[in-house]
Parts: sequence; C-alpha cells; structure tokens
Amino acid sequence: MRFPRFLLPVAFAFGLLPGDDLNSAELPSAPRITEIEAGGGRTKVRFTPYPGTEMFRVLKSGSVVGPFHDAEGVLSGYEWEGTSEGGAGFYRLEVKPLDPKAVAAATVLNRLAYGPTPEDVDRVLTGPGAIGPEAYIEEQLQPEKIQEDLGLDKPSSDGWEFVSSTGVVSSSTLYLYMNSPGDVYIDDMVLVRGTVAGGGSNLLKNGDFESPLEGSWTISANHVGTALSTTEKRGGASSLHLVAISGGTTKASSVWQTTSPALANGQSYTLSFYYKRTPGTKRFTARFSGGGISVQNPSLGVLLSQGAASIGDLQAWHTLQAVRSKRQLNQVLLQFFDNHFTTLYSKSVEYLDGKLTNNVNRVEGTIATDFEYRELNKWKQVLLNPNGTFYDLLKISVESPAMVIYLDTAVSTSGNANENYSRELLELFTMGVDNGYDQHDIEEMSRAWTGWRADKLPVGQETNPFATRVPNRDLDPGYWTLQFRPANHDTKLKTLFADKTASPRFGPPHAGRSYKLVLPARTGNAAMQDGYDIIKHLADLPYTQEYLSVKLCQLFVHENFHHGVYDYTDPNLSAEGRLVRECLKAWEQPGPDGRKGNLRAVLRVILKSELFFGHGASRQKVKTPFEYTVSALRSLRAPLPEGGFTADTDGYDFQTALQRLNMRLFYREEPDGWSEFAREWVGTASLMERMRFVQNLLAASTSSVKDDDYGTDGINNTTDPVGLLKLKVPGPALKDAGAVVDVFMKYLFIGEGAGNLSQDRQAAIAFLNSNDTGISDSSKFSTLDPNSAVYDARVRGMVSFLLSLPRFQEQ
Amino acid sequence: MRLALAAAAASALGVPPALRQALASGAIPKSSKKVFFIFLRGGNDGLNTVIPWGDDAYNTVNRPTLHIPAPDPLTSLKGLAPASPDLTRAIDLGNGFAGLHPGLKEAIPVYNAGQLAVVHRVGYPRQSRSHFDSQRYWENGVPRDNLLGSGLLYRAVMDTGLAEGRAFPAVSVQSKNPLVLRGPLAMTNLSDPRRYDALGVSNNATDKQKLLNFMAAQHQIEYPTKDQRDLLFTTGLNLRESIDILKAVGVEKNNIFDKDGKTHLFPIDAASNQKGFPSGWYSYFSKVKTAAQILAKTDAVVAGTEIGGFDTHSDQGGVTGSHANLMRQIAWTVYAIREYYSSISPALWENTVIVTLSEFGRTSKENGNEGTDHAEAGPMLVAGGKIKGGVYQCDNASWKTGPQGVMFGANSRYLSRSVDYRSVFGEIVRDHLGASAAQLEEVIPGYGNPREVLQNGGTSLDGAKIVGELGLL
Repeated sequence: MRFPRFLLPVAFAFGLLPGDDLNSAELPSAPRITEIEAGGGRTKVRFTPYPGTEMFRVLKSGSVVGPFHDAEGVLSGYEWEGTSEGGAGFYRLEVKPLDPKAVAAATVLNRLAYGPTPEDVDRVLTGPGAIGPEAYIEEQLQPEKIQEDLGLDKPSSDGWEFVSSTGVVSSSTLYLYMNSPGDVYIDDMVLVRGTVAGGGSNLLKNGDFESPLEGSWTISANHVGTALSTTEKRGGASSLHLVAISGGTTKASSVWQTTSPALANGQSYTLSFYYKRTPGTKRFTARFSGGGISVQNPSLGVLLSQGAASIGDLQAWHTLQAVRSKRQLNQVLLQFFDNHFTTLYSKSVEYLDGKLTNNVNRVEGTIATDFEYRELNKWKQVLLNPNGTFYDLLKISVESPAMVIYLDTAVSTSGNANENYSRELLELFTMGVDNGYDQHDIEEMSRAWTGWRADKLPVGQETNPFATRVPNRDLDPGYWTLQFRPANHDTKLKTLFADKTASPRFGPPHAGRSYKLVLPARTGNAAMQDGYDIIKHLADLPYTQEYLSVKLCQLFVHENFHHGVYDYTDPNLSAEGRLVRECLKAWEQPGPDGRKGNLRAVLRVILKSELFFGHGASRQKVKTPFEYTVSALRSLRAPLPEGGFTADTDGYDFQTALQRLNMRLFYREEPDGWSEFAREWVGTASLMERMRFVQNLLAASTSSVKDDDYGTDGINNTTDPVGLLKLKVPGPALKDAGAVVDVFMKYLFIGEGAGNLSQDRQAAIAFLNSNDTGISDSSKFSTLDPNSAVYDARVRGMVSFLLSLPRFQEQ
Repeated sequence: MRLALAAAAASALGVPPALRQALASGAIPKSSKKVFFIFLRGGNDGLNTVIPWGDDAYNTVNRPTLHIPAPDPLTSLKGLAPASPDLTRAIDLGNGFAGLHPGLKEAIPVYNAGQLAVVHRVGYPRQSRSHFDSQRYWENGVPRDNLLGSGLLYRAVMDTGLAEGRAFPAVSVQSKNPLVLRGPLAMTNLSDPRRYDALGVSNNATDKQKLLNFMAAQHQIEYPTKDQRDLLFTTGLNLRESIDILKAVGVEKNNIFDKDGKTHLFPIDAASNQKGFPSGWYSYFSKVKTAAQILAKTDAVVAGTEIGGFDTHSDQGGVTGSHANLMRQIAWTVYAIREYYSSISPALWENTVIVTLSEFGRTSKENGNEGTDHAEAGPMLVAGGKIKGGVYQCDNASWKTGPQGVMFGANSRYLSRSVDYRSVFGEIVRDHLGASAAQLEEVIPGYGNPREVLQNGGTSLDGAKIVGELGLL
C-alpha cells in the first residue's frame, strides 16, 4: 500500500532559514519526504538528500499540528523504517545541519591547500582549541609569516654538508648508491639507536672510513671505482669516494653493509653523515633495505638553486613542496600562476639543442629545467610579498626565456613577426578570449615583440639584455637568459586598441574609457620598451582584471564564472557576477605600496565571500590529478613520534602517475594550461588511473601489487594507515570496525556530515568484515590481530576504496 | 532532475543479458550504424592535404618549401587516382584540379572504390583562429558558443534514442574524453586497454574484484546534489560496466590482417609492423585498433580517437617531413578500417562512416619558419561503404583561382569557406544515423534555421557563400 490518503508527508527543516539575500547557488532547497510506504506493520519513509547534514531524524505525530516525537526506527541513507504501531500518523523530517564551520573548513582545506592532513583537520576544525577556517585563511594570506624548513632548501655550506634522518627500520642492511653516474665524498657516517644524531655508539663498522673498505663495506659492480680518499676528508685521514658508472637502487647496485648485531624491529634509529659534492655529483641515496630511513642528497633545493637539476628533480621538488609545505595557499597559487603562464620544458630543450652542438653532457635539460625553476622562484617571491601585484607576475613571465622560446618570440623578426605570443598574451594571459581586442591588435602587437630572444650572455652580463651573446655557446662560460636584439626589432610606430573604449558593462570608472596604446617609433636598445609599455598597459585593463578574477573564482569557488558576459551595472547581476565585480573594485584599490592590482586584496575578497564560505562552493569541484594525488597522500600523513610519517613520498614516484593522469608537470603542450573544470578530467580512463594510483599507494611495500604496473616507480610512495590508526584510537578500538572506519571518515570527508556518509560508512565496515570474496561477514574484523598482515591488508584495501569514492574526487 | 538522470543512466549503461551473449559470440548487433571519428589536433594544413594544383596561386612563391608539385597530366585518369602514383608529386584525383598529398597514397583504393569523399573549404561563420575555441566549436557543434559543454556526437547518440538499451553508446580511445562525446552522462573513454582494470592492494591482488565491486556499489547510492556528482557517479558506474565488456571484446589481441593474411592492419609493435612504419606511430595505431574493435564488436554507435602534431608553425615539410608523416597515418587508418570491417562483413563497412575533424586550416602562404600559421577553412575526409566518394569543393567550377581567388579569399590571407562542417555532420546524423529533422535540431542547434543556410546553401551569417549539404549519403 502506498500513500494512504490519511498520511500527509510533511517536510520541515530547522536551523535553515534562508534569508532574502541568499540565492539558490548558496543554499540548497530544503529536503522533503518523497514517499511513505506502509504495510505488514512496518512503515518506510523516504526523503531527499541534503548537503552538509550531521543527522537526519524522522518524527511522528497523530495530528498534523503535533506534537511530533521521535519515531523509533532505523535510518539507512535517505530511508527510515519503523513499526506502524500506533496507527496512521503524520511524519516530519528534521535535519540537523553540519556546523557551518565544518562546511567552510572543508572548502578552505581543499582549495587553499592540497587537502588536509589529519593534523590540519584537528588544528582547524576538530581538535582542542581549533582555530577555525577564518583564522586559517588569514594565516595563509600572509605566508611570509609562516616559518618552515622543508628540508629541501638547505643552503650549501662550504665543503661538507651534514645530513641526518631518523626512522624505524625493518632491515639491518644499509645501501649507499649514486642515483645516476657520478661521484661524491662521504665521511663520518654514524648510526645510533634513538632519535639524537650521534647520540650513542656507532652501530656501523668503519663508518668513519678510516680503515680499508674490505670487511666492512661491499662494493657492487656498478660502483667499481669507489675507494677511500685521502685528499678529501672531514675528520681523520680519509673519506669514502663513492663512484658509480651507472645508477643504483638495490643491494646488487650499491655499496652496502649489514650491521652486526642486527637492528631491533620497531625501534627508532638515526643515521647521520657528512658529504661533499664534486662537479660530478648529481644525487645519491643512503637508505635501509625496506625503507624507514632513506635520505637523498644533495637536497633538491641546493641542486635547483645551483642550476644543476634535471626536470625530474624539479617535478619532485614541486610535488614535495605541495605535500609538505605549511604555506599551502602559496603552493596552490604558485601552481595556479605557473599554469596560467604555462611554458613547455621540452620545447626549451629542443630550442637549446638547436643552439648547442656539444651534446655530450646533455646540458640542454639542465638549462631548460633552470628556466622553469627560475620562474617558480621569482613568482614565489612575489607571492611572499604583501605588495605583490599581477603586473609583477606578468613581468616575470614576459622576461622568462622559457616563454620567449615557447610561443616563438625567439624566432620572430621585423618584417616576419610571429603572432603566436601576442595572441596568447591577450587570449590566455591577460584579457581573455574575445574580450576587448581583435586580430588587428594581435598583428600590431606581434611587431612589438620582435627582437626578444633567449641566449647565452657572458658572465657578469646576466641582467643586461643588451649584451652580445658569448661567441661559443658550448664552451664559453655564461648564462642563458633574456636578450634583446635591436637589429631584429620592427622599429616603426605601432597602435594598439585604436578606437576602442572599455565596454559599458564595466560601469564606472572603466566604461567608455579609451584604452588605445601608441608605441612610438623607436630604435636601438630603447625599442625594448615596447614590450614593457604593453604589459604595463595590459596588466590593469578592466578586461584583464575580469579575466584573472574569473579564473581565481573558478579556482576557489566553483566552475560557473565567465568572462565577457557580466553586466556589472545590472541591478539583478548574479551572485557570481557580483563577486567578480568586488574583485574588480579590490583590484582598483591601491595596495600597501600604492599600486593597483594587489594580489592579496583580490584574494581576500574571494576568500571572505559568502559564495566561498557556503554551500555554493562546498564540494562543487573535482580535483585535478595533481590535487588528487597529493591530497590522497596528505590525507594519510601524520608525524610519528619515533620519526618519519605515516605516509610519505620522495616526490619522484608521483611523476609516472601524473603522466598517466595527463598532468605531466612542466610538459603541458597547449598554452591554455591544465583545466580547472571537472569535465576535462573525469572520464572512465582517468577514474581508472586514479583508482590504480591509490591502490599502488596503499599497497604495502611487501605486496606484489607495489611493483605491478608501476614497476619501481611507486616504491618510494609509502603509506601506513594502521600506523595512523594507532595514533588516533586506543588499542581496544583497533578491533572495532566502526571505530576504525570513523577515523578515516573524519579525516577524509569533512564537510559532508555523518547524515550523508552513513552508506559509505556501512560499506567501509562491510569491507573490513569480509575477506577477498567481499561476501559480508565472511571474515569478522574483530577476529583479526591488529599486528597481523591480514589486518594490515584489510585496512589498506578499505582506505584505497574510500580514496576512490566520488567524495574524494571532489574538493 | 537528478533522479531522472540516475534512472536514465541505469537504462543506458546496464548491460542486458542478451547483449552479453552477443558479445561473447562476437556477433554484430543488427541494423547498427557506426561512426568512427578522428580529430586532427592542431589545425591541419588543408592546402597540402587536398592540393588545388589547378590553382596557379598554389605555387613556390607562396609556398617555397612546402609546395607539392602538380601530378603529371599524362597519368591522369578520369574520376580515379592512379594505382601507383609518383610519390614526389600530388596524387591526381581525376578531376583536372585536385590532388592528394602523396602521403595519403594508402587511401587510393578507398577513393577508387568511390567510398572516400574529399571535402574542401570546410569551416563555420566568423571562424576563430584559436585552437581551444575552434576545437570547442567543432566538437560542441555550435560555432561561437564557448559555454555549451555537450558534444555533437554525444547528442547524436543520446538525443536520438540511439543510446537506448546500449551498453556502450559511444567510446573515445584517447587519454581524455573529448568534448565531442561529453555531456551530462558519462560516455566510456579509455587510453590503454591493458590498463583498464583495478590493480588491487593485497599481495597478488586477491582483493581486486572486491575493490571493483565495492566501488561500483557506492556509485549507485543516493547523494546530495553537487555540481559534479552526476558526472562522477555515472562515470564510475560506466567504468565498472565497461571493464567486463572490454574483456569480452578481446582488445588485447592483435590478429587482424590485410588481404594477404600476413600484414597486420594495426601496426602496434615491431612484430605487427610489416608496413615498416616508424615505431613512434604504434601508440596512435593502438588507439585506432582499440576503437575499431570496440565499434565492430559491441553495440557502440560512435568510437574514435585523436592524433596530434598538426600545429606546424615550423619545419612542416613537403612531400616528406612531419606533415607528410601525419598524412600517412591518416591514410592507413582509413584503409585499415575499411579492410578490417569488410573482412568481418560487407554490411559492417556499409554501416560505417569515418570522418575527420580539425579545428582550422592553415595560412595559404608559408611563414618565415618553413611552416604555416592558424587560418580558416580546411578539408574533411569522409569515408564509408555508402559514402558517395569524390572531390567536393576543389574543382575548376567551384574554385576561383589566382591571387584574388579562394586561396586568399578570407581577409586576403586564408582559404575561404564554402562548406559548413555542420552540413557534413547534418547529413551523417540524419541520413546515416537516422535522426528525424526534430532530433537533428537537438543535435545541431540551428540546423533548420534558414539564416544559417546549412541545408540548401546561400549567404551565411558572415556573408560567405556556402553550398549547404553536399549529398554525401
């Protein structure tokens, strides 16, 4: 029997009283009861879902006016079932909404950050003295005040550098190896029990390298030139000169030693040593078999700052910063602007290849990597500066050799101007497609960029674009950077945006203003000013303000913002249009140093807006592959008291996954950059690759899955979800499937509310209570020993399942 | 709205038992029309694809390094291409005016069978020369609409009822689902069939099936409305369904041969490369093979892939070189699919249309870097058992020659347009897939609008004279 006449479905939600100024984009309409079904003494009530719900409750009354009381029954998802006892009645649905702070925290931690770590969730939302999302935003808006040492940026000291690492090891064999052919000096290597470097007796034999290596260290064939050195030593009479003819990874390709007696399981040890670089030093590794302690040196920051890194190093560095940095918003913005002003590493390599004939050292890759690193580093300084403007960022991009090469300015000459850069500068980097310019402006502007080059300038002339390049690019010392060649420049007068005035839709102060730009006829070095006049002019045009504001709103709020359509004078302008209008106003306001276009002013408008804080933004976007992979690791990453983390990566082992997910960093071919839109990323193939990534990530290092498919490209991504559990729940609760699942629900799915998570929670519990057949209760979780491999695998599987759910794809 | 979508998803994506059986036996579903698409990304240089050698503006002054010499008139055959052409020249098409790039020689049998239509001067009103915008318009089917997020071929299967009851209405074999197949509900997309399965977590992946099943179940629950949830949920469900179907198709096998029984039609590794193609082409042919197999062996209506590298701003090459290599891959694709499908059954090839898309043509004049820049109109290749082959819009009658002719007819720089891509697709959707006029209007909005003159031709919105439908089917 369905819908008995005398039963009226009544829906009512408390705590949610939409004000007049809220539109549907901000607050979803109230849930309602859709069906009441009674029969056989049972009644079922079905209702529509509602976002951000802590709890649904079904109430019953004999009368339409009440009083309503709790109806006894069982809730499952969006269905309640109970006894029909007491006869027909009226049902009412109550929604206990999630604390708005939780909704906001979910958005904040997924948009200003690469997803929360467990520590972030506790610190911002759930822990004692949680600071709340607003305070987190304020903190992130002033990244220069956040102190951090990522262990990536250590400056190189003269000569010997000190390294130490603490962790729990599972083996007693220590490997030393070069990651690729090269050499390095190592001295005074000490392994001690505990967490204090050098604080105890050295468990390694001949760690000071004062005795012959035979009998203490075994040298594999690829490290055949390895020997004691008496010319380089930090202490005593000698050091180890580690030399490799090919890169190592394992015992059979390293210099190794097994401690005697064996190390104890579950105990912390600390390895420390000094190393000294040579011109042939790329990277080397010291690690225990099975992990626990693993250090790679020189630090990536050192390699990069010295222009000696490969693109793989830069990819790893960029990834590690996203994983580890406390300045999360800074990293998000860095990625956003690097992507906005996208350049292509491989095109730089190809260009350099054409200019260099000596290919032996493969320096092209190192130089091209340095182009990308320099951009990132400069943008980072702007973002760390309270006075930073969009113009500052644009200028860095314009002057970057990578950009000069990427969009063919490097081959553009007077009389044969290449339109590529001008088109994309207008279409993609400043005004936005079809937004206030036309083909004529592109052609006119392309003449202004003629003569801009990337070339190798002599030492001491690095910042002088008018210097003559070195005669022999292969052999002469120098620096690849921006150069201007007046001989290739079109010196004639150029007029941009002639007869154009800002669209009336911008309203005051812009509407109707002419934005014509005349570049006078100029010759010689002075003609380079053409380019600077252009970017000065473009940076603060209302069209540019609009296009950048729209892109930032798409990044932080939701996808449905558009440039070129809003009429800012319209009294009925949409909430989205109003937010962009506020951004334009903030852009016009002088920053602390009196300049327009202050980045933090615009960001503040967006991050303080109602659209950002409410349901309008909450979980309305899908993570990009970079966001997805980094957030998956971060969600499981907590510091262990004995040193190390419950989830970690060397950065390198994310890159194969990112490539498979179509987001190979610094290899974006098209100049529009990676998309912020879900439809660009969600497909069956990409969801499958995401699932495979988390399965590889969650596989234990002893599981055969760990090197199926990814080969060795996943072994340095480690997770220990049981280790995380042990930090978060007391011992006896480890056998309670519900308690175990709740830990992950809490850290993975903030902002949904328990009312909406009940079905996922039930599925996760069912997962824990079944063996590989998946048949429910085929293997009770409570019977498993929390220290057993079966328990470990069960939890790993369950977590990989949770990380594959649509809820974790969203941000 | 959401519930309605979920219900639609279930009917479109659930695999009926009958179909599972059909798949297992490798039978071809009856009365099934097929479309195979290839998107040539980057903007194909149309003037070096279908060469207007009869136009004296196509010369070494305008194209110093790119120019392809005209065919020897003595080898000309009326209405046909020579079976063994001189590969240092354009391949004559037998109409006294047009030739194919010599890299397209493998398509000669298809042309000579009257099953390859070479349509020149294709574009749309107020052509964009931005890759991103122009690709968007070709794919969403509405020029100058930057917001429409559903694709022309998506609507062709979803808005015509063709998807009803089919497990696999449309499939793309490339790393990303292209806009042409995107819409509110997820279509299947895969890059490498060997990677189209879960990995598992436990040792020896014994929990692989469990993980897949748990994942699929959670894509069928109800959930609060969020902007992207319909997309995420239907994609997840679709993923689960399609894994099993692909296994039944056997895309991991490569046992498809040319008539000689020895030459693999899809060279995807050294062992199957009897043609001696560069190994860099394996990945593309592997995608073509997977798409072709799925289209042949499932109830899919649309399948396709993409090929990049057409943005030839520099070092484009002429008879040989980078553009020539792209031509060779396209020609072999058309040839291989025809041979493969004909070998399964003549009906399958008769039911198939292969169509190429590319966002724009390239400048009529070579640039300073031995390449070409973004321009406007370009060619489409349309092939199929029922296609009326031949040369369209590249002949003495329709092509005004010389320095003031159509080669510089748009802004004195670009090849002018005489065909709208929507007219070509209009014919395919209506006459091949069987859409009614009303359905066609859903698939290509504005198709019946007299001002667009897409059917009968006339003066288009931007003043260009276009011919309307060509009668390809």
